[in-house]
Amino acid sequence: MTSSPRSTTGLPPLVSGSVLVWRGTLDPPPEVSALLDTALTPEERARADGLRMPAVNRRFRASRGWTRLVLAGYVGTAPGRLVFTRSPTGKPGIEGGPAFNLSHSGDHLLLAMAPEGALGVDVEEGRRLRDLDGLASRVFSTREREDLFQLPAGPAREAAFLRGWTRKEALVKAMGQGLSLPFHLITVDILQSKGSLLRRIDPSVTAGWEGDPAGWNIVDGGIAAPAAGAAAVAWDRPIGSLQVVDLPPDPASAAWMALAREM
Amino acid sequence: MTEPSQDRVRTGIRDAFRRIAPEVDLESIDPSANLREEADLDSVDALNLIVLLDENLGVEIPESDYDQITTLADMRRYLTARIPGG
Repeated sequence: MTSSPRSTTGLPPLVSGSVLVWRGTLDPPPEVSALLDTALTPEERARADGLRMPAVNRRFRASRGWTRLVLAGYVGTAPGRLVFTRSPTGKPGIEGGPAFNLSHSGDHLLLAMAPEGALGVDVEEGRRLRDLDGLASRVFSTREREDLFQLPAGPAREAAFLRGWTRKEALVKAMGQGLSLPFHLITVDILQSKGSLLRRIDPSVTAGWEGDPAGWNIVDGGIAAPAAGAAAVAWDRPIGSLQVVDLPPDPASAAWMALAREM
Repeated sequence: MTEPSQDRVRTGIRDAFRRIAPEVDLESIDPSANLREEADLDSVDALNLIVLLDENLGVEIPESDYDQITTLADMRRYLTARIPGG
C-alpha cells in the first residue's frame, strides 16, 4: 500500500483506497477552544466576530480551527498559512494537498480526508421531522419513498429519511454541488447501512462530471457519533477501508503539541 | 385591506425559522451574508425551510432556483416577487 501525502506530525497516514474521517465536537473544552482559535486567520476571526449568535460564533471558530489544525498537519505548514482554493462551484480544496470535505450539524463535526479524488461527507443531527411526505416528495426517488413508507411512522421512518438524505448529500458534496441538484434522481439504500449504498444515479446528474460516472461509492461506515443522527461518505472510487479518529484524541498528546508548535 | 406582500413574506420567514431553528434571532443576521452560515443551518434545516416557505406563503421554490437564494435579503426579494396575490 502506498501512503501519500505523508503526515508530518505523527497523524494517521492517508492511504490509497482508504478514507480517514476525523470526528469531533464544536463545543470542545476551553483549553482546546483556545488552541483552535490560534489556528484562525485574521479574516476568519473578523468573520466570526460578525456572527452575533454565540453558538453560531463558537461553531464557526471551532470548525475552521479544527479544519486548519488537522489539514496543516498533513500539508506541513502553519494552520493560519493554509491557503484554500475554491472550485468553480465553490467546493473548498488545497492546491497540491489531500482531498478533504467538512460537514457539521449542531455540535457534530466530521472532516473526511483521502489522498486524492472527489470526496464528500455529510452529518445530520437527529431531530424530529414533521411533514416527511413533503420532504420525501421533493428529494427521494420513487424507490426510496416506497422503502421509507414501508417503515412505521415515527422515529424509525425519520431515521431512515436522515440516512437517505446524508447519503445523497455526501455524494452531491463530493461532486462539488449543492442543494440545487435534483436529489430525487439519485437513489440510495435507506434501509441498510453495510457495504456500498448507492443504487442509481440518473445520467443527467453526472452529465457534466469529468470522472467515471460509474465509479461513485457511498458508505455509512458507522462514522456518525452515537449522539448524532446519521452520516455518510461518498468518493469517486472504491472505498477499500474507512478509519474514524475522534478529535481530540488528547489535546496534550504529542501529535497535537507538535501541531501547536508549528503555528 | 390585505397585508402588503413584504410583510407577509417577513411573517412567513419568521414563522418558518421559529419552527426549524427557534434559537435563531433573525434580527441579528446580516441580511447580505450567507444565510446558512449566519444562522448555522445544516442541509436538513435548509430543506425544511424550503418546504415550510411553500406551506406558509404558497411559493414553491424549484431546485434550480436555490442558488439565487443565498442570503436573507435574496430570500425576501425572491418570495416577495412570487407570493400569490402580491
